[in-house]
Amino acid sequence: MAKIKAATQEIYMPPKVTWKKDLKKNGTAYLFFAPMFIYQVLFAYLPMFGILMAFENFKVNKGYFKSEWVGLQHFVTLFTSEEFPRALRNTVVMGLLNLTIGFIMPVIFAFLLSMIKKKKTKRLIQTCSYIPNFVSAVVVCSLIREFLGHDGALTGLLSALGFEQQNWLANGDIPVFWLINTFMNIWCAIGWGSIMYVASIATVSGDLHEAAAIDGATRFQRLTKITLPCILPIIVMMFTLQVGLVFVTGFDKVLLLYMPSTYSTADCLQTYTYRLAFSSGANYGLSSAAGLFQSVMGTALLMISNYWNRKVSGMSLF
Amino acid sequence: MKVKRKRKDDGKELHMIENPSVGDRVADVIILIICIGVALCSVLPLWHIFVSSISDGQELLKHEGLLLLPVGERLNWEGYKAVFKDASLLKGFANTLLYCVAGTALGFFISVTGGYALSRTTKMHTFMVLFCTVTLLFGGGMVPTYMVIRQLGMVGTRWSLIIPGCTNSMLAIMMMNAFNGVPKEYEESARLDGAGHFDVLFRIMLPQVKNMSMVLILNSVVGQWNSWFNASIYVPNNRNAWPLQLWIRQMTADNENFLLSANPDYNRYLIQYVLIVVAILPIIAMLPFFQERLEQGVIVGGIKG
Amino acid sequence: MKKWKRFCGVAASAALGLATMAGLSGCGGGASGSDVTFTYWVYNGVDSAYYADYNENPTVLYTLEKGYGPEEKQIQFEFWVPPAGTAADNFSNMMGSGEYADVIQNVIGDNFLTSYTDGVSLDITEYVKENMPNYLAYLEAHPQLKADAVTEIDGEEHYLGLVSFNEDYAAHDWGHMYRRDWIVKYGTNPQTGAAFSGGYTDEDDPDSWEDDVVFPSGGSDPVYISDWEWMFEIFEKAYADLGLTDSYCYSVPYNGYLGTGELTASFGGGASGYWFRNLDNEVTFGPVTEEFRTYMQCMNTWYEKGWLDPHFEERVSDMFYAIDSTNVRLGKVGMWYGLPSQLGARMDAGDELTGGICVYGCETPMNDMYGSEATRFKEPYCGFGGTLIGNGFLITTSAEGKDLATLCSYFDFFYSEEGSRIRSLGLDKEQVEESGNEFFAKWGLEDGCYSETEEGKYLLNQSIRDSSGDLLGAVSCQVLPGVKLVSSVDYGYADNFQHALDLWGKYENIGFFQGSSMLDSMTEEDDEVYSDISTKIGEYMSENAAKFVTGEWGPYDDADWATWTKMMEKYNYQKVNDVAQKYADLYPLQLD
Repeated sequence: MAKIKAATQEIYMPPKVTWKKDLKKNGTAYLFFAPMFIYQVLFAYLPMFGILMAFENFKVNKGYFKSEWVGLQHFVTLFTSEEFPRALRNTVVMGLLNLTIGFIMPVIFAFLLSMIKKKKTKRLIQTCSYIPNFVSAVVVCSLIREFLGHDGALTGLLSALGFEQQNWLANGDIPVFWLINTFMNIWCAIGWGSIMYVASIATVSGDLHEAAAIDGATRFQRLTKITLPCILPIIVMMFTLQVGLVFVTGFDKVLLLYMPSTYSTADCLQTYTYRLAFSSGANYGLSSAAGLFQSVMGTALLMISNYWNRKVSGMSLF
Repeated sequence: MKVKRKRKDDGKELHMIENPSVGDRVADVIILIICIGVALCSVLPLWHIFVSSISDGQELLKHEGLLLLPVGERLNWEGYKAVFKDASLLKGFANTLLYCVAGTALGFFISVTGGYALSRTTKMHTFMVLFCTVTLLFGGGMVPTYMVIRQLGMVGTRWSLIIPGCTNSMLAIMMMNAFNGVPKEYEESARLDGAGHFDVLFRIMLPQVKNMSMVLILNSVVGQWNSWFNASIYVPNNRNAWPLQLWIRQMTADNENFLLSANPDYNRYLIQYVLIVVAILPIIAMLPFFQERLEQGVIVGGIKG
Repeated sequence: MKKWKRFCGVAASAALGLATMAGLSGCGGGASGSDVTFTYWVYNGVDSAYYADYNENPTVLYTLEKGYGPEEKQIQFEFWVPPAGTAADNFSNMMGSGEYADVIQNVIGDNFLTSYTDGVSLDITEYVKENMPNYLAYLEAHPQLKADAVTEIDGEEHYLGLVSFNEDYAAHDWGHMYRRDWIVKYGTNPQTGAAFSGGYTDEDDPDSWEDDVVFPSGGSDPVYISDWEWMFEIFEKAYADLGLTDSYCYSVPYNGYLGTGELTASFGGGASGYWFRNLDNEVTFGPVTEEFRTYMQCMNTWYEKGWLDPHFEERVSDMFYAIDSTNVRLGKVGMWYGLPSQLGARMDAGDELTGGICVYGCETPMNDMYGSEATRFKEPYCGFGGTLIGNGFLITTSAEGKDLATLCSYFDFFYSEEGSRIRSLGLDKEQVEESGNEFFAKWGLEDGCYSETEEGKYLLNQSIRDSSGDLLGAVSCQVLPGVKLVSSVDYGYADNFQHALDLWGKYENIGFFQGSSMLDSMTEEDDEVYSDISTKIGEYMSENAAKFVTGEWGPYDDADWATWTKMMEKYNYQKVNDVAQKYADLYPLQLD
């Protein structure tokens, strides 16, 4: 048990050594980082001059360095536009739902899978559950539209449960669209998202289980006392990363599913700025400003969650 | 190898020694039912697409809702014939295979070495993690990235599909975490034997994180398999370099407006379904192989403990 | 066993490694630097079933065999065709990175003046005047098109790009259509009360329907809104007889009007382009006009009577406004906005509802019963009517120093009579033989892509007419500048089919900005004002216009209407009126 504790309680305090010593000891490690460093500089940092666009009246032909500089004008436009509060609220709510229910489901599924004893059954179920990950967003959305439409199969099921027969996608009431979006994302990700957890659970020592079983621990006890602590670091790390990305990813499907009658609950920052950028007059600056705003929010959240993690569990990314 | 086998058997015996209570058995059944439910939900839509692809086009156009059996009087393979009429798709397959192998190999190397460096207690640790995290959240956008890659002379070549998308910070951080999970004693004892970082990484640590490596490779392969956007940006005019998914998008779009013509050939309606099947089946068929690898990780874990 | 496995593994990796190397070594390649080789950006290519690479276009290859210009030089192209659906990204990359193709088909770019002042395109005045006699002659013969081709800078005429022309307004590829068989079966003659009769004269010909239907307005085609309502009542009888309870008479898209203006425009106010010019050449904002309110009142009435699709608000993303294609194909809808592939008996699937179906096309209706007198009996003039101007083409700064005289001479060929035929229809029999390209035989075009009829029209080859893809697009070369033949082409359509196409194109677009020279000549600042305000208004309309149809807002209620117009004022539509009026005055309405 002590070993598990050691493994889970990593604390990254830089040792008090001089640079010279550090370089001598970790020179090779730094060398190992070189490919990643070059990769990031070339393909991630160099292109970042594109962020300038958020502060300019960007003209495709004039380019990034010659377009007219407008300062924070796009941000003012964004924050003062009538649709902004609504879009922000929807982004936050849908992001949080994805982060909570959407995050926990693959974990639970992984635990359930790990408890299936028959290897073949387990493998078959797992393979099946990966399939949605390969189905493109367009197809997923057309299936959703078919199933939740007025005569759809799921609508029929819901009607049998006492809900009014309707096209659920056209329902602008809270929280219908939010739930649809969340469960759609879960459907897409549950199998694929569970791979890493399944893989981690698999590495948990069989001996520990054996010993615990001999000590008379029930299966549930073994789950909470052995398996969970062992893979907690992975879960916490994934969660921390997801917190940062919560407002950035997973909105492409909203664009395919929402309609004017559900703008009130479905319209989020990405879709709103998409409409502004791609309707008659392309406003690249505004959508890029919105993107930057989301990145900054994500960064703040990541910092907070990292800090909180360090306080509570002693684990942190940096 | 033999030792490992024995361990596996031990695992089985363990379950037999245990005397499952009634509650345990009920729990087993419930778990199984839930999992099968998830699997069914996942498979049904693809099944729908598959039977659609061998249905009668005109009948299918009229059908609504989930399809369990093909509509039409007999199975119709015309959609498949149309899709494989010329060699474009096969060429796409070959390209995708190339990108999967090369991109994954390169990406794996970068993520593993990067992840290892991140996982060590060094003075630069915080800087390096931040350095990687920033790029997760901030990006320059499509055109600036294109400009950089053009400056590197990669546009129009296959390199542009292999190098720029081969890894990302997420994968490096995942690797970092996996390395952190390896008990310290391993490294320490190796260090005492005089091993440097190079030996520690490739001899000691990498075998310990086999499972995460598999996850990484799997993610990378699948990412390459599904990718089309980079190709549409970097090699639009070099059709010999197009990956499968870009051909699939092109062909789907080509057949989208067939209803506009005065004499619609309803088999063309099937092509969109055929293309989905063609795009998904090979990679699905490959997954059990990876899974076997993932399960072998259990045994490694057994030795470790 | 173990060794064997390992060996396999090593062998497999070695093979993959070799394959990788082999694959990668095939990378690279680029355009040759010759001064008669031009890169050419095309907005979209052709169906990949015919050929994957536009450089294989057999007709273009044929024309490139010949020499052009004073020195009879041959030229070469390297076509850049973006993969389907990525044209906008592709274009942004090209523009943003400054790596322009030598020639750009200017579908999504800025207008000529902006491109020139931004340093993207070249002033080709000198070459046009020297090498393009056919182009100049065409402009001479059609002075009303000059505004689009010529840009005035400091009082001097400049050619900053090339424009392609359409010989005539193109036939519509879509329009309103209705169940003619139901009219015959359930309707009665409005004058005599006698039952109609009619049917197919030839079982195998989907266009052989004949009947004696007369509409209340007196003709054999519906013209007025009252004719439509007469039809709707007949459709209701049909639904009662067939036992259909979930049917409706007319399918309209979600915000309550058609983006092409086909229905709205019949009431005289534009709602889809938002701004239009009235017959006095005054720029008018459609959504606040009385005509638009009247239109909403009509839609509201239809909705309340159950004639409109009750779920119209939920149908958002269908192609070409073929909004409820499922129910239409099932034979449950009386009237809809559809495609040529639905005309006549083409939807007959032999089942109860579609057996014996006959679909007729009809024109966009004229209001004769709603609103004030002033809004009635106006001939539609704001529908999407096609234009006489095709795409623009830019010759960019990348082509500087290349042999532009030869290039322009080559392009000029497609403004000649022979060239425009080749551009619009492909090659004739002789040319096919001369080209020796196997493509033509492969697709059944050994006898040429067209033949000349007795009336002097060009009849398309049977293979092209029967193709279910766009074979015509694959053998013609309309991505090059030139003239497109329209009225001199005989598509070989049956009379009923042709009649539907004629009705769809009955009313010309005069009032909409779209397709007029106005938008092309706006300066950058004015264009920004226009697009900024219309984006905001479009936002508001897409979310709220439907409320008038469903009755959530009463179209007869002055308070609700005031809310609507006040919001529009808040978005400052008046500013666009003022900005656009300048251009309207510059290019007055072309009334025939």
